[in-house]
Amino acid sequence: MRVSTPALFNSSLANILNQQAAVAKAQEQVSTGVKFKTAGENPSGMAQVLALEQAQAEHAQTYSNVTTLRQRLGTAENALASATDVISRARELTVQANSASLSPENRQQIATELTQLKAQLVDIANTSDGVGHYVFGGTQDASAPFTESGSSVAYSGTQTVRELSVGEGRTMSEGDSGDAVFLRVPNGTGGKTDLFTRVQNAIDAALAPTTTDAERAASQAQFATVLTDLDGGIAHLSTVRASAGSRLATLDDLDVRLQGLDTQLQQTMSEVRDLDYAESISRLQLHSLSLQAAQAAFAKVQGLSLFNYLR
Amino acid sequence: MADLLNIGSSALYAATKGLDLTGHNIANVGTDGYSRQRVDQSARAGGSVSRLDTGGGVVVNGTQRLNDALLESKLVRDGAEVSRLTAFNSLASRADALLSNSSSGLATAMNQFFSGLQSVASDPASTAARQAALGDTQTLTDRFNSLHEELSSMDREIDQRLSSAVESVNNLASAIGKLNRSIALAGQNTPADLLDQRNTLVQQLSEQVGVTTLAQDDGSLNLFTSAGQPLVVGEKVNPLSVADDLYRPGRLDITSGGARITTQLSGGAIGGLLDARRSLVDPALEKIGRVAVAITTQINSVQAQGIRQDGSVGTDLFTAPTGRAFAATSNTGAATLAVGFGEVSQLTGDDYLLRSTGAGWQLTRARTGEAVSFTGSGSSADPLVVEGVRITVTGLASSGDSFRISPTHDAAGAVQLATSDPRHFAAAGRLSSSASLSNAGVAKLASPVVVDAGNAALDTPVTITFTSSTSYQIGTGPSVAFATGDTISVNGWSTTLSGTPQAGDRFSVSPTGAGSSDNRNARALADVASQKLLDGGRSTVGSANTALVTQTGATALQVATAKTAAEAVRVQSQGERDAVSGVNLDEEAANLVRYQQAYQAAAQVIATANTLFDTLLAATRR
Repeated sequence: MRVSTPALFNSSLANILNQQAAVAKAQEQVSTGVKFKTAGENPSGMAQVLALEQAQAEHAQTYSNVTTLRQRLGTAENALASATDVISRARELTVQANSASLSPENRQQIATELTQLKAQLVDIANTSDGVGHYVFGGTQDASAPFTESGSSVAYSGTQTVRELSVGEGRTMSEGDSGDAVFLRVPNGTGGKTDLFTRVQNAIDAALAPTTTDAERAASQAQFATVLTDLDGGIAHLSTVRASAGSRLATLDDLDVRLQGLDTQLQQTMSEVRDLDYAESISRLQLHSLSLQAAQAAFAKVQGLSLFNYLR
Repeated sequence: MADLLNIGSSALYAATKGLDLTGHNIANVGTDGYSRQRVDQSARAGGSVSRLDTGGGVVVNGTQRLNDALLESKLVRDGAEVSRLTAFNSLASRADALLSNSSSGLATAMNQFFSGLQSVASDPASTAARQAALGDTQTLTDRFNSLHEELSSMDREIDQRLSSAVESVNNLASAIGKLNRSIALAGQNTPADLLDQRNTLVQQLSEQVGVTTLAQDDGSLNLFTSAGQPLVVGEKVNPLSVADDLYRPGRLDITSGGARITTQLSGGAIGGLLDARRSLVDPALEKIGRVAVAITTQINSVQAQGIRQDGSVGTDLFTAPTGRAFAATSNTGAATLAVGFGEVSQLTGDDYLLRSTGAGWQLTRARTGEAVSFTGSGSSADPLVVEGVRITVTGLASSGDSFRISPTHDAAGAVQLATSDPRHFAAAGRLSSSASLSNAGVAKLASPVVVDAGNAALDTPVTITFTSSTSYQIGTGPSVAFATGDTISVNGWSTTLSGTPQAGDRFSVSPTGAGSSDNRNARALADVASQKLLDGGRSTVGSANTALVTQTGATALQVATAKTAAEAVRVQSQGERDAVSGVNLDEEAANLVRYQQAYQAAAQVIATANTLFDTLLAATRR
């Protein structure tokens, strides 16, 4: 076929330009470390990347929710343990007070300690997580939910408990509201007696006069009721703790699963988008070599002219 | 001897012509569209009719232009296709990068927005979390606005390039008209170079817009646009011009002889620009706008079901989106249209044309022209409803008046925050329930869910008293039978009871109030991310965006691939054309040598004739 001079020039030049573009593309891939940057380079890959990015964002949020839940439930769990200790101590003191050998002074001392325990229990009920949330305040948790007025304790929190999303449409409650933990405690007669009243009853029992036989008999009966109530309180708290504990155990499970999922997401993302360096670098070298060849061919071909021989 | 002299001088003339043309070919080796030429010469017969006739030398008939019209027209077509795809590709790759890039696309901003709402859900009382979520919301609106602005600026650029392409088309057409005149006047004696020039102009013109050519007997070439309008007939030129779009002021329409022909034009840069607008820029604007409408409408509606930090009912987070309607400039009636949204999941993003028939309305899809069915009359009580769009007509339209309805085309540009107060996130549920502390049972009333936000008594506190484990009364109302799992519905809200109630158990439901750190509605806001709001309940806002990014990318990829292929085809056509018409310098060098030798030989023939004559003179001198 007859080849014109401009055609020869143009096709040599086009070869060089094509190879240059291929080198630039391979170089960009190697320097960015990703196979593609836009949907135009790989539409289905980009769809996967966007879906994975969204999954990662949701996943990060779930992970952060799990951390928040663990921290808040952990705080509540510690508070419940302390409350159990307080009630147990109150029970010990009540047993001590219910001894005929004690002098009124001794019983007064016990009553004083019981009063302190009651105040301690109020403090525990007003436990905060350190960043301004009172863990037993329900959804009014910015201020202390329990306030002591006289011998009774009032609750200003709500009965609603926040729930947080833990992924896949599931939610978990952050803890228990103060009324469920400290106030709504079943007594033996089908009613409810709050924990503060139960300690207050212990104080009252310790201070009850035992001078006459009638008074002593009444005191015995009073102590028996107080002990039953305190035992009931301890049982109630351990039920609440068990429920918090099982949620914490679920969170531990979730934590492990989420970490596994995270690794999996990163791995998939890497498979979809990340560059195979060995393959790309050898491709870069291949294109560089082709470019050199095209340049050499250009110089060679363009040097050929009949005019060189016509002197 | 006189013959030999004549023969020698004719050979000398032919060799000079050959040298001239070789020089001309060499001079034009780099000229676009140049066809190589060679001397068309033939042997001249001698004067006598005899077997002894020796011939009379050589005669130069003219120059011959080596050219194949079919190859030329194939090259013109291939060049036009490359030009179309180049224009298309430059816009497609930009749109692709814009939508794909995480710093300009929508995906990251949307992910952040929903993460921000989740953070509010995890700590609703935290001003920091709310402030951060407000920042994320601002980022999302900015992203919608900037995507709209970038795509709109591509749209404006298309207009600018269209109008400069129209100018080029007119200049080239008038130059072709002038050449047509020269060629028709010259007839058979037309210089080859004029034909090359005209070919080159036709090629340049078809790079601007697709044309069909029709050769005439007088040598002139008539050109028609792809819409069928004559562009050049002989020496007469019908120029294209630009006018404002019938509906959208600021957008251009190309006209020829007063007729709007934009939609019929194809091929060349103009075709590529129009293709990009039709299949890329407009759909991207419409789809982004549709996501904007879905997300803002739904977030606003969830806001209204919750309680802000100050205790009041949730208000709009975004300004409510509206569609646009453009009246044709030719309308004679006084009707104006308002475009709103109904069932967002039905939105297609398409534009519609609404035409008044005098008695009623006709609706067609703008891109395809197909008729679309709708309901309603257009009054504010009974708006025209089509595919999630609600159109309200005010004033009277004349028969034949038409409107372009653009529901979502510009919606992304109009997204705005309706508040700058972080306390306005309605994180808390509207109503809260509580159980009386003296309840004997352990039954618990679930948090009430708002069913009818418009119920006037929604916020009225309600007491539910169980008269037995199987019946309850609302306030002091009549006894209602109850079984485990029953839904209790009052005043536009509903709830359920867990556990078995006992006689005398009391529950109350009341507004949540100010300062609550409840997060029920914040979770509902965050859940908008996973709600299938679009495509008839098949796509979330995220997947709708992914579909847009992927579609744009696929178009960009397809155009880039087609462009590469078209370039290869053009190189091929150029090679085929050049094989016939292109100058080869080696060939011309050989021709130089050939004609130089011919010239020298011819000179020698004349010298020989001279010597012969001298010999004869010398012989007769004695």
